[in-house]
Amino acid sequence: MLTKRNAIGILIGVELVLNAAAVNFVAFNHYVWGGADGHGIGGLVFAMFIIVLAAAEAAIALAIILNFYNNFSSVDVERADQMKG
Amino acid sequence: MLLLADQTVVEPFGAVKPLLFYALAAVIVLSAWGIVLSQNIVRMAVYLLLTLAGVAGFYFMLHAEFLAAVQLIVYAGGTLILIVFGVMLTSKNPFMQLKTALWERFVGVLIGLVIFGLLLFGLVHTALPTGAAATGESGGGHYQVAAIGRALLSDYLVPFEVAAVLLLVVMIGAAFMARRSAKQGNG
Amino acid sequence: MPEIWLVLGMCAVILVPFLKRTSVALPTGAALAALFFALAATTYTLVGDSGGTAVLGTLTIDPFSQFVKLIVILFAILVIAQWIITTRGQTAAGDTPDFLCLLLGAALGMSLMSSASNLLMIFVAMESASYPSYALAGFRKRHRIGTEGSLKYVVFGSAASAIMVYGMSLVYGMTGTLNLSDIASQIAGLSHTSSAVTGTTPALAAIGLLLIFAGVAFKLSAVPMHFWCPDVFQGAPFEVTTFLSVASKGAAVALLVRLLFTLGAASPVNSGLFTGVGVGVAILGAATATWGNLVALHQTNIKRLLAYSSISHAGYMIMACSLIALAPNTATAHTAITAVLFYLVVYMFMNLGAFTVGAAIAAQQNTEDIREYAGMSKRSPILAALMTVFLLSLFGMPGLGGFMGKVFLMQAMSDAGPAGFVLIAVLLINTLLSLAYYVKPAYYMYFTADKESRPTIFPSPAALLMLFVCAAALFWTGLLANKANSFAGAHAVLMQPANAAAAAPTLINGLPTVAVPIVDRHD
Repeated sequence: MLTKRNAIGILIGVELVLNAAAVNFVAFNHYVWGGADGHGIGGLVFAMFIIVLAAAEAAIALAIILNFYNNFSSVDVERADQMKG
Repeated sequence: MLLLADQTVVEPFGAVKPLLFYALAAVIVLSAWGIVLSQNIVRMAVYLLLTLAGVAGFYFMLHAEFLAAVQLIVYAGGTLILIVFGVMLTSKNPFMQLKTALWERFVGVLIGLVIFGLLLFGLVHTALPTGAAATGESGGGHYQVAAIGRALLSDYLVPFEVAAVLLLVVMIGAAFMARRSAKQGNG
Repeated sequence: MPEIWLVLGMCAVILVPFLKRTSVALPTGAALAALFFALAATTYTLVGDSGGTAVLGTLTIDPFSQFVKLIVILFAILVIAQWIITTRGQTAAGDTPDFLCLLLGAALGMSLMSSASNLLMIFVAMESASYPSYALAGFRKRHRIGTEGSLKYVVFGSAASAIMVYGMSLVYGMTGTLNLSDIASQIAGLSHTSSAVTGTTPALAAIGLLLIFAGVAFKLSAVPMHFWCPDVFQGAPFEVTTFLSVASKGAAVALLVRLLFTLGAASPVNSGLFTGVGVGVAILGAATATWGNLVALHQTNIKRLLAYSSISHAGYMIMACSLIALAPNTATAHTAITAVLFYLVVYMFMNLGAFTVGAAIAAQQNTEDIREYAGMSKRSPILAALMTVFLLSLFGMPGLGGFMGKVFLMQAMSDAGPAGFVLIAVLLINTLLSLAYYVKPAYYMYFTADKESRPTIFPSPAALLMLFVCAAALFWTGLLANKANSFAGAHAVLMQPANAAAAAPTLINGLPTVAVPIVDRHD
């Protein structure tokens, strides 16, 4: 996330972190907590919500990036320096 | 990913499964490195596709078939396409490169290393819980789909509905941001 | 459930343009009606069911959550009123339904944040508060600064939420549950609901908690993650800035309180991990307050000034929240929650007033620079006087609500032993520091002559009414604080996690009903 100047690149980095979290959830759910006293499905459900909300996040972020591009003709986050202080 | 590598030791299965696991892990880790190191947004999107597919493979291995399908359809098929569209719409030259300054890379690598070290430290110093279902094939196959459906409509009903409303709001917000304003009343 | 009304309001607001295309009154009316219904529903649960708590799947309904919802919904109404009065002319008629829908969506997410008691629900609620906020921050689409603010918001925000989700995955891995109270008891090692916890050392769980707190800290604009706040506030239109400054931070404070309270209720006294959390939160709050005040000193844009001021006020509230962790399960924790609630109410009126004056001036004089407020005492004495009242209340002038808010915060801190006195010292130093920039607009308004003969500003009667209401609320909370404080105290009751653990799996035959799983507890 931190080594990118392209706003979409940052977004892709965020997707990576979200995927790491989702893999964690599914793996923990399978190897450790699956089937345990009624909570067994929690990790899977959470991973599904991650996928859904990642899609929503990408939609809103890309709309904003598109709007930024319309105003600045760039997706370089370094151009976002109008405000200081 | 680290965590998974640790877990496979516990898994008492044949020789193929670890092999498959390491192959998938290699795909994921290498393409993730590709995303981080590449300065080209199109390449990054392709590497992301590889990563997402690899993660879907993990889900298959973990008997989360439904989730793997969702991952492929929604994530690789939807979100990634959205990102690629974003790339197409926002770059005059899609192979344009935005180089980051050296110190920025240094800071990024430093923060990454700190987080990595923190997680490694935590992993080493934590006895991972060995839960009830270490051996149990916790409802693979279609049972799992039923269980997820039941969970969504009972325990997790409220988040489910809120997520539905959220998608509506996001749709309106995104449509608003992306459409041309009818009247130039603002600004 | 006030949230249902918010959802209905959103649907109405979207559908209304099919009746009449460019009407402003219809969607506004629909949104206000929905908000009033939601307000009534919240008030009903507050009055009719005082002290009662209920678990509804992943939500916890208790007096605390209802009180915060009351603030959020009331504030949404006030913000819409402010928008109608001051800045509606800048919004195209065709964009009105979008604006209202996003506002209602954000209010929905924020009110859910106040009662979320499950990691999944916290995640979903925080995201549904954030996404509409991202869009609202960039609502002036052709405005370069607004676009830039919303880009920063969405980039930082999605990174922070991804990190938070990663932390949640670690916590889930260590505890095997998403339910906050179960997590608390697992981490405390008190109950062994599943046989797996034996031998678990909480290193990864602690890292997970740290990452979760980092996500909440982003919403609070606590110091290492505050960069978005001034830029977003400056770029967003006034009504959005006002809304985010109070509702978003209020909901995040509520979430912080619930996290700390639930974790603390299950933790044994003097548990090392939990004291560490408390100290960490206290340092976070102190650093946030100090940094916000220091940077605010050289701001000249009224929105940026108030943004840094809101960062420091969030810092004060975080400092009070740390008491919940430092002294869990005690009267101190209750006093601290009460003080935070009281502070939120006062802060709502102060900020609303200050931003409304700023918006009224910006609407007619088209400036956000406080240096251009010169000679305001001559040009429009009422606005100048009211602005001074709000700024002095933000500083903490005796007789005004802001003073009593700080007094109650300090009172809670003084109960917490030596750590509390350090916090009080930090709070006092910061208050003195903040005087330097709160008097700056007043200085320009009263003691600087207007050299460029700027026009007189005539606030509309409605704006004056609103400002007078805010000022009256501040005087009331300042002079008759005890009544308001005891009202807040009555609602500083969070559900004890022990109850939640017993009532959590309340599914009767797995029926997908909303009404069934409610378990009332009048104890």
